[in-house]
Amino acid sequence: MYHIEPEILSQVQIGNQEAFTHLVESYQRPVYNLCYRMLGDAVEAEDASQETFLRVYKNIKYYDHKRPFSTWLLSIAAHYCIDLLRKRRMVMISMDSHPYLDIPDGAPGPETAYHVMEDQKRVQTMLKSLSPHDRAAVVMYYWYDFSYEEIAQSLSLTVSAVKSRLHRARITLAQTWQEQGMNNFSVKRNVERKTHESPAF
Amino acid sequence: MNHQPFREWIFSQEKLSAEQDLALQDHLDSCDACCHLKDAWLEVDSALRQPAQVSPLPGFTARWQAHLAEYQQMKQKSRVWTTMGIYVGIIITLLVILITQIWSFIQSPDQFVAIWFNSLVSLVSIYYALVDHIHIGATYMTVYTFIALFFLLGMISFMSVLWLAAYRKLSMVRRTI
Repeated sequence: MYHIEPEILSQVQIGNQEAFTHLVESYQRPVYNLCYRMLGDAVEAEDASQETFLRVYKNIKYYDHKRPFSTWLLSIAAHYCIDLLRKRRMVMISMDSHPYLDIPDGAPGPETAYHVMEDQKRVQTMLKSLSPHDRAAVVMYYWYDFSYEEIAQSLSLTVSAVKSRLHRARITLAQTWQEQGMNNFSVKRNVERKTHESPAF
Repeated sequence: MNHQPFREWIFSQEKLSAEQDLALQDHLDSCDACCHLKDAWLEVDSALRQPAQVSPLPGFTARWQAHLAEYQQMKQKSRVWTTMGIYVGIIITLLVILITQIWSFIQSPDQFVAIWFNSLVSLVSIYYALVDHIHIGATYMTVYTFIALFFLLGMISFMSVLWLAAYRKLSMVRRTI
């Protein structure tokens, strides 16, 4: 998980701008990734990340050192995204703008990278089928390796509620994946049939 | 066919017992729907576990600094406007009071002076009446009465805080699953 030195945090809490810039540099990627996974749009994710850091800047004096900083920071981002999704439930989000996708090190080649990218696109589309809270729980569990307790703390839920949400989300994701697979299969089959069709038919 | 326990087990993150595992295998051998669902879940799980992270466009920190500067400028501006608003409000109120006083003085100076004198006398008499009451209270009030009064006030304050806390808790949006 991401770490920041306690001295830097203390500096941030006393209003050191340089220390805060260092904090932004260290956490921009996890915050942006969470926002992108939640909102599904690169431009909105950028705005949400900026807003998250602004909220952190305004509320850093309330940060409790007993709690992991990354949990606190990502909970602010998640709550902001949940609120945005609630407000913009009726607004269609464009999937045209894609951010930089960091393929993990050791990826064998461009073909694998392409498949990973395709899978990630599919996952991103599937995440949209989940409710904002379920989506946040899934993102925190799979992308950030948060424990049930950490997710519960971040989303102001009980541990059993988190387990139940994750279980429900898994079912929804599997069903959506299945439906998407069937759609892809039927599209593929139609294309295949057309290429083999004789002009006479 | 009842799929319920098997569908629960397919998505369960807990380790299944040997009997449950066997029962699930038997069910999957005979049920295509559950078998496809399990395959779909395995694919989703594998896609979710690929740690592909997305990054913002280069220059995020610079954009953040610009954003922060904009926010601080806006905050400064709003602080200036608020202070100015308060000062203007105070000045207008004082001016209104002054103008009405001057107006009534111009209309009838005798009456104006008489009213001011009466007000002054009333204030002095109220002050003396209060001092008398405090003296009488201090003379007749026993230690027990004082303690009782202290506890009563404490109780009222405590109940008020409790009521406020309960009201706040009840009026908060409850997050349910």
